[in-house]
Amino acid sequence: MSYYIAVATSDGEIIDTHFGHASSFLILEVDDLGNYEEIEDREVRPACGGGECHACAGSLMNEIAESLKDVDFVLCARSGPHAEEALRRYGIALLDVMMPISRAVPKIHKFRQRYRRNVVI
Amino acid sequence: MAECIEQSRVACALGGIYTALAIDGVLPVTHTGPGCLAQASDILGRVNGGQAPVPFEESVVPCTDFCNTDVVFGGGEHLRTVIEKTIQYYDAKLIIAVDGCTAEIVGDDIEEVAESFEGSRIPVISAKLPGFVGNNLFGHSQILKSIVNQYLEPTGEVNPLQVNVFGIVPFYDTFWQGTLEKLEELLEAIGLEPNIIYGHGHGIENVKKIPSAGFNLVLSPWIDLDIAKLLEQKYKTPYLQFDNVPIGPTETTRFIRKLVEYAGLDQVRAESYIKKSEDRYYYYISRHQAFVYACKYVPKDFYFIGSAAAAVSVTRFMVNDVGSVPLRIYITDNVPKERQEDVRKSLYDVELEEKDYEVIFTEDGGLAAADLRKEHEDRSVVFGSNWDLLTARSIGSAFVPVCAPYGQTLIGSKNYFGYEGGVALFSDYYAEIVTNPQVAFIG
Repeated sequence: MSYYIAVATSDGEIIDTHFGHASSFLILEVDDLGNYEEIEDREVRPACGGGECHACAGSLMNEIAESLKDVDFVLCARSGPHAEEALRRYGIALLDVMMPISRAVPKIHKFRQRYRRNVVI
Repeated sequence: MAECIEQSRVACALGGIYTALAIDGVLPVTHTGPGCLAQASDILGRVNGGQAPVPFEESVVPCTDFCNTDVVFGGGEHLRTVIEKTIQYYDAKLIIAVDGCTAEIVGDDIEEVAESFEGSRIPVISAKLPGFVGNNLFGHSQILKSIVNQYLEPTGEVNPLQVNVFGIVPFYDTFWQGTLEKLEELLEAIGLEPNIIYGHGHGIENVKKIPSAGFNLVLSPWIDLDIAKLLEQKYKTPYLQFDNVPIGPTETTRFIRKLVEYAGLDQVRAESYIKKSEDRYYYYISRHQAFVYACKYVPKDFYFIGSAAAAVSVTRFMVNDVGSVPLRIYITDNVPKERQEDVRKSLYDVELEEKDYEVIFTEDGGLAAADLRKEHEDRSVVFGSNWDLLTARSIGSAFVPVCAPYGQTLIGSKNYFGYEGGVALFSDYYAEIVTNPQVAFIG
């Protein structure tokens, strides 16, 4: 069964955007063989809009998490504990990693195949 | 799956890093989650007599903060970066890269990472410390094995008088530092050249000298026998096992005579040392004799809950020198099944006619405490760790702490080793009996 990964990226190739700065997430659909395709560019209200922090304790983080609830993994360059906590409530794993999407997705797929039954991160 | 345990007296395998930290100049770099280090300090560090390793305190140990991302993407590169920075910023003489459960489950190759630092300013070795395999004694053994296998080099010469000391687990044996100092004095006094790797005044130079020893001395019922056997296999160094850290005149004298016979030392010198020390011991005991006789009530039996090493030491002293009888002995540090018989044999090897006490192996300290609360003699004495203080109080017993976690106090250089240690334990024991109102002043 296929699953979805959300990526915070500025150019569609490298994961380079902070979670709170992302105004949209690229949604990838990955099938059982690890092949993936971009299906959507989902827009959100950035959690840390314009350098002004108003989201950490508020509902904006939850709003983003709600809008990403169908994905299993969110990849971004950097993130904070509030983001992780908000996403965890929806069973979404938030991973900080700076690398090309084409390298990251196979690693996630490999991990998911090995530990799908055993590990919930 | 094993049952969960209560009142743990051991740390997870990562507690093994305390063995590394006890060697001056050795710095572990941990490839573990950010909270993993803290759990061991609750048993071995601060709560264990207020101890902290010197010069590298627990809080400065570099850690990769292994997180979700490392699980998915592999943490090898992350570890490599942390080691690079450690070499840059720390003045260590040896770095040991260690990993914990998570890194072992996902299969990060820390050996490969450590090997890639060959030829760097500070040598880097690796040790695997997955907590799902064993406790801190397993970790201790893993650290020593790594040092022997990856760091030691043959020295090409053997000094027949040099003796390496093993069997005392630093920090887990709360009195390790004082014990090692006194042991060093004793070994020197009878004509040996002790080579101790842990603690003050020792360090990496002593580690390098390990292969040139005439023999290895193992002072425990089973711990470190694997290391002694490994050294025997690698460097053909024979080993002598004495099954406990001797406390009091009977056991210490036996220990010295065994050493003298084994190493072919000067018997006259050793006997004169024994004579002098025993005289001194009995002088001090005599000074307290009148006081002891004036005690209104002196318990004649005791319970023990704690590590196998401390159990043997304390039981021998209490039976052979003080004349008390053990009622039940709980061994809480998960002695391997094949070693349990040896420990049992050591615990029954005392000068007592009716040895009708029980020895119970359980890792669950809570179970031992519950057992004790259910069935016990009144006004007895409990030897154990800080966990057992309240148990002892609730069953109206006196309490003497002898093993980890020792409690929120400052241990200083306190130890119960040898003749002087006998005096110290004797006085601590009677001081507790006469000041503990539950035992002392009734009836």
